[in-house]
Amino acid sequence: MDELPTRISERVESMEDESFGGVPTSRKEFLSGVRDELPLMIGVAPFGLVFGVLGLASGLTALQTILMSSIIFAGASQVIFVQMWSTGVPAPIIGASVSVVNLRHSLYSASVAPYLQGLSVRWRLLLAYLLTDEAYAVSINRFREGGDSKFQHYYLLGAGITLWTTWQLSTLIGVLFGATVPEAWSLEFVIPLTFIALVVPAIEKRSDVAACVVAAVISILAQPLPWKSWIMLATICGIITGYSVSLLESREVNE
Amino acid sequence: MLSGASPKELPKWAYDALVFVPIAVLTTIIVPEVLMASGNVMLKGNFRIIAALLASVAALTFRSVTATIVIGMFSFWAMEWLF
Repeated sequence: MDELPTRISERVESMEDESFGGVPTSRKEFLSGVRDELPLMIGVAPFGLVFGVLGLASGLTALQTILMSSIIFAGASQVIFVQMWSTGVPAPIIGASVSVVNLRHSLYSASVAPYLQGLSVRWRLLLAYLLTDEAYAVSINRFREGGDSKFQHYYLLGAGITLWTTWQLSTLIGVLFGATVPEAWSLEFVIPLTFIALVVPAIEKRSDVAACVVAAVISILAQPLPWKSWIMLATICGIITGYSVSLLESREVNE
Repeated sequence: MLSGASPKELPKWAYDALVFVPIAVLTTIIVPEVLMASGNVMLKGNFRIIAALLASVAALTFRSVTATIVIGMFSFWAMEWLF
């Protein structure tokens, strides 16, 4: 059980730990978090921009689009939400789909929790809110490799705030000026690219491959289903398949 | 994280299953975006597929989100410009 899922995070490069030297302080941890998160903003900024445009295009007002980025604050979920919104998917289905997609945050949360023990509820709420794919990726890396420190939660705070700021700003810019960005640039392609960067290095065992392949196949085959149910179907089938194969894998090990 | 429960208190099967959520979710988003950007599955002349494959190789080689996005985007733009 000490084997926390390392794949997604361990594989993301974080800049070499140029120690500031001496005792880690909250400020050093915070700045480290910011520094390690910054390179990832190359993907996050266009993503936010695209979301701003998508939000408006799907019929949301500028304010609603901007609020989505602060309230939901999860790129994949937001994009799915607006796509469903624009095609008139019933609200409960939108809610269910977004919840399934957000489940990955439970995993991030569970694997980060041991490093955040003893923190007040306020801290946990704040960090839980700030937790996203990219902030998780660099933080779990630091928690595992960087050694224990009293202030390591400031690292996550730094990474989280960096991403949050970039996300809100780019959404705002997307809402205000997104329409002027030429469609020919195909900026929305950064969205799948960002996720490729996180997923591909994380695939190691057969169970991972199984989960990925099944999700991929069903995501295409299930397209004709109403209300974009392909999202939930592909995700859940992928999870079940991955889990089943992992059971077979551990059985092999025991024999 | 909020419950104060450590991962050890989640039933083991739930935790072991949760492990596959990111892979399943992110793949579900990636694949239609790459194969069906225009609304229908497009295999021939789909630069996104090639760019996505190059990006995947970059991801494995460099293990860097930045490198992956840059390589993916630039190869996509290069193909659009060339063909």
